[in-house]
Amino acid sequence: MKAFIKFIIKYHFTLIFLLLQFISFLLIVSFNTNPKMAFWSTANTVAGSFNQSISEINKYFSLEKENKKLVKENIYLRKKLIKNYKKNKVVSKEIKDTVLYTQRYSLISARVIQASLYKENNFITIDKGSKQGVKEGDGVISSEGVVGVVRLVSKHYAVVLPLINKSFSLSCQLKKTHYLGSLIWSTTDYNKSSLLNIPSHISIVEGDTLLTTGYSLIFPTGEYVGTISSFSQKEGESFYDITVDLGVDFRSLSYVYVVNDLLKPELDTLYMKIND
Amino acid sequence: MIDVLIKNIIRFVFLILLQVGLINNIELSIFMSPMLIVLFIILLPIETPKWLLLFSAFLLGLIVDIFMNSLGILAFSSVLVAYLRPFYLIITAPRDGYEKGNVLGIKDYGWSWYLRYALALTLILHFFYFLLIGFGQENFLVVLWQTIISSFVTLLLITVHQLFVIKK
Repeated sequence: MKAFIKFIIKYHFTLIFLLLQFISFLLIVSFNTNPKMAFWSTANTVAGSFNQSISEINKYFSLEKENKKLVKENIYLRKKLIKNYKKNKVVSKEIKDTVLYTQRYSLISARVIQASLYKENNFITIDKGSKQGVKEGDGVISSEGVVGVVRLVSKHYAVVLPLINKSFSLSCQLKKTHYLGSLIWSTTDYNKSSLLNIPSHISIVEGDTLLTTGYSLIFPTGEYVGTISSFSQKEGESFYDITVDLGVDFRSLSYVYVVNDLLKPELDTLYMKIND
Repeated sequence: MIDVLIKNIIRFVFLILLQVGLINNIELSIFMSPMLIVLFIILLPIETPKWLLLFSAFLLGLIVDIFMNSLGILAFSSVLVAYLRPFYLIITAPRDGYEKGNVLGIKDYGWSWYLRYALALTLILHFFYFLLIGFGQENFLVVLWQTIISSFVTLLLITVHQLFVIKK
């Protein structure tokens, strides 16, 4: 026993070092695998409110830009109003059918209070959390298109894994040909991403639009992701190398919507039954 | 003694605020994330108990990690720097050794010694930080450039800090 204590005292520096490195290692691993680590992220109350007060200051510098974005979105939505359409067919009786439509998605608006652009693992922190109904795995969109998926949730804040994070992948669809590919961020440019798994026998064009598919259970079908900016095909490869211009400008992103799929619990229980 | 302790605690808090409040919000390139917090480890007094050296470095890294969503990575890197610091100090000791109460800065040890010392610690911290952040996918050359450029910027900021100290 005496020898043991002597050993510890003699090598306490190295032993503490090894212990702390081991703890750090455990933290790294669990943060990357466990979705319940919101306390250890920018969704933490202290870190969140700190970032929020900094972003309060920055907010005023982007007001004009934000207004323009809102006007643009309003015009888009107003165009969809039924009163802008002339009826082609005369309907004798109009019944508002509540059985025909069930609300599938609801949106929660949130403000971006912290975002990184130049890391391999970029994250975005928003100012809404579980109290406002944000759940882990919810989709996040903006008026410009898909932003990302909620990764960590605390009471008042949430950390979003954006399209510009190396560990994010999204299956999306080409508007013209309906082919599916996966969007994976492998560049270091926050405006660009790459689309994989599009077989080279189908024809694609520059400028073709990328939309979300309805299969993912995260985003509504047909949400804008980006456009194809260039593509190439390597000799002997059966897939294209496609570069995508992302719709969302992450640099000026300040307001987003969290998408709540109201039918997801129902679908999840269905899938559970299949797996059982 | 108490004076030195309070000074270091203030430096600890101030550097974290500067790092997460200002430096992390200035994003210019993927190659530039200077970790100014390494200055805390650099300036800890020579007679700091070794366990305290490690624990304070761990806490420092952990707090900044939380603000950067990189849990554990900076903690790992800064504990490593803190562990290697005494060995570096032994190797590069001046001829008459270190005097108690001296500050590890330009004033007491000169420009060339201080810059080499600061550079060594800064390089180690950045190298392991970028290596772990880009683990698995990143090509090694990118990690090297990130380390070199970010260390250079950090060193510049550290030098500016020393200029203020000398003036006083």
